[in-house]
Amino acid sequence: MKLSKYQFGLWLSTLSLLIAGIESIKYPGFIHKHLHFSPSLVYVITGIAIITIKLYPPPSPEKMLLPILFRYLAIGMGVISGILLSLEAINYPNFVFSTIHIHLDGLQIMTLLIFIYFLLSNLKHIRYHSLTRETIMIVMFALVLNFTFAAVINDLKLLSKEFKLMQNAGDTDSQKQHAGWGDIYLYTQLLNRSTPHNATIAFPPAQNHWLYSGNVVLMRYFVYPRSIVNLTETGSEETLAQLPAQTFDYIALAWGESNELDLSPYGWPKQAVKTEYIDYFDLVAGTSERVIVNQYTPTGVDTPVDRRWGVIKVAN
Amino acid sequence: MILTTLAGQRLVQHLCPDQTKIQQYVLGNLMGFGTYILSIFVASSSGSSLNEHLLLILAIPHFLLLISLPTQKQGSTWPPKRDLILYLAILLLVLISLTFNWFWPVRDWDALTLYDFRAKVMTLSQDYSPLYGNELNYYLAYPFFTSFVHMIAYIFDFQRPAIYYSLLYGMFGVYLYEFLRLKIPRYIASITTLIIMLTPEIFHHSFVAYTNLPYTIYIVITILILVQYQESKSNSWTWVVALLTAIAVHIRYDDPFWILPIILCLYIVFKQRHLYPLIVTSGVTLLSRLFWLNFKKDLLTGYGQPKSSLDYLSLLSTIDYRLILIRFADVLMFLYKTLWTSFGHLLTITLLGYLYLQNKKNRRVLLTLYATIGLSLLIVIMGTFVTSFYYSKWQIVGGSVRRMMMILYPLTIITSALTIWGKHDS
Repeated sequence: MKLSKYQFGLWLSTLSLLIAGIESIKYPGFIHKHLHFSPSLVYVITGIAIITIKLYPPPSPEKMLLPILFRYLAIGMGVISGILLSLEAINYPNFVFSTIHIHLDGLQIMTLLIFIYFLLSNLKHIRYHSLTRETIMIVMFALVLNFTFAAVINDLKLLSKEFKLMQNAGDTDSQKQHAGWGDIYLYTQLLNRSTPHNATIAFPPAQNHWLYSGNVVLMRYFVYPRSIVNLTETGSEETLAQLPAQTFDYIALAWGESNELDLSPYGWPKQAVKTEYIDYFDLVAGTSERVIVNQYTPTGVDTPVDRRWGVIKVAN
Repeated sequence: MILTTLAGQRLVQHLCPDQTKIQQYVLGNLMGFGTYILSIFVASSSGSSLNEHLLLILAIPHFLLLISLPTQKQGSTWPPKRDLILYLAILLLVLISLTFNWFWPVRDWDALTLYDFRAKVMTLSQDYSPLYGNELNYYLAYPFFTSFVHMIAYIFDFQRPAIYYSLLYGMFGVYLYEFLRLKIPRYIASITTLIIMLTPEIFHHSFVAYTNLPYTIYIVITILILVQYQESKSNSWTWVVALLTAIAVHIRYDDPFWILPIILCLYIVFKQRHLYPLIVTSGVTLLSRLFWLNFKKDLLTGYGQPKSSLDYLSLLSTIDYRLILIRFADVLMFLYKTLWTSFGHLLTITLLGYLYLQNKKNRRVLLTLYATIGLSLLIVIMGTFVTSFYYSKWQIVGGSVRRMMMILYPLTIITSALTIWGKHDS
């Protein structure tokens, strides 16, 4: 009898939606982990079944409870998904799952399946087209509303963050750069005051803990037209212990930018150097102090705070 | 900028006379100022010093164009007064963006270390030579377009070059509205325009001195012009498309969407039996690409760092073909994770719009837009797939891929709006 053909499609789609529903309460991947088959296979088979044998029989769709129920289910799921996505956007990632234990990815898959099955079945029935088109319009409107709502929320968060950063309207560009980049910017400005424009300065390699002071392109922006040389980072301590092979007349005395409690890796350069003098920088006061000394000897963890940053003038 | 915009507008008047007045000024800026920047590149790569004299001399051709081309009085229209509210809304967004760009000096990472640094070097030393060094490959990662924009500001002692991005953002909004208001109800056109301008990625990039927004604007407007004129019997619009694509190539060389206008012109060849758009667009675009490619190769070779061209045959021989399907699945999963959160809504809307469109008549023009969106996705899938074989860190550049796909925001939103409310005229 023709009814059983449609029931087959209906049962398959119910099974697919049940699987998607379980995964929205648990998590995507739950079915595969515990039952060892991929839900995607069920979804695809259902889709093919609907295309070939249709979900419900023609004609008179207006009188059929099933397509109407399906339509409202599709709209309802779309609205619920939209509301939950908006709540997630307003609060924080994972807000919905942590509050009501619904996994948004799973819910979206389930909603998508309902629409796909609904559309696939209706598209095969010419008389269902107006029903389909209205539903598509409603869904599109809902998605646009959701997208716009999330966009406006994100824009407002961005504006709030940006306006908070603009607290001191009277700051100079240098003060603004300091606010943006932190003490590493102040270090480069003190370096510029202590070295001539044609200086060549050796910097540490761009590895932990010198990811900013070792980043040549960043440092070069702030110290240009001075030249910079450094070793290519390798991650190893042997690289940190060496100085670049190229000629240089200054060496950046760079303690390191990380905030780890273990101070033993900090301090660069790590070898003794013959010097004409060393300029030590106070990154809090923004001042420098010149000490005439003929050798720089690294002192590791015993380095006093006021001797951690500066620049070494290499002896000829 | 004003002079080049006026000259560009005069040219657009002749090439695309049915564009509205505002569209002409926007296109005039994109083309006029864009070609001016390209001329700086051509002159400097031939050895000219980068100083204010060069900038003034290079403005002369635009001045001559402005005075030699007669004004077309008929055809184009100004927007009606009732559109003032929308323009005020756009102005408000631009003012917000301008506030940030006026307050801050250039600040984001690549904006600082690459685009703005090149500008400062060129301003101080009047050529590129200080860029030669171990990082030359990094400094040549992108063409000099936005660096030249910054340089122009610095040469004339203006320390806020990033307002260029705010102005571009405003022009984009204005152009989109003008494009839409003639095709869909005015209030829908207003809402659509504002949705695009408020898309967080686009809004944020209006106060970040990156190349993504300028590139997006150039490519999207090029596609809209192509869509608008694809059934036109006249060919003069082709030069607008060709020049805009050539300029886009000099903003971001490696992004693959320069190919979209060429493919669309190929479609025109099949439909209209018109070879002219394809020849002009592909010729000008490929010439533009060749220019940057050779310039970069010469510099790298001259400095002793020849960029080894990828030996695709050797690469093919190293690929284990049994793993191709697995790699393809990995690429699809990577792109899904990278792009779905940003574009999932819009792609779903687009798909639904396509289904909605099936029963509409006169949908040829819209199908072009849908095809463009589909092609963009295909390009990024295939591009990522190929890249995965020679760049081992391909899975950590999700942010770059997302920014690269920025063209999808306006394209999908416009397409959906035109689908539902458009008259589907050619």
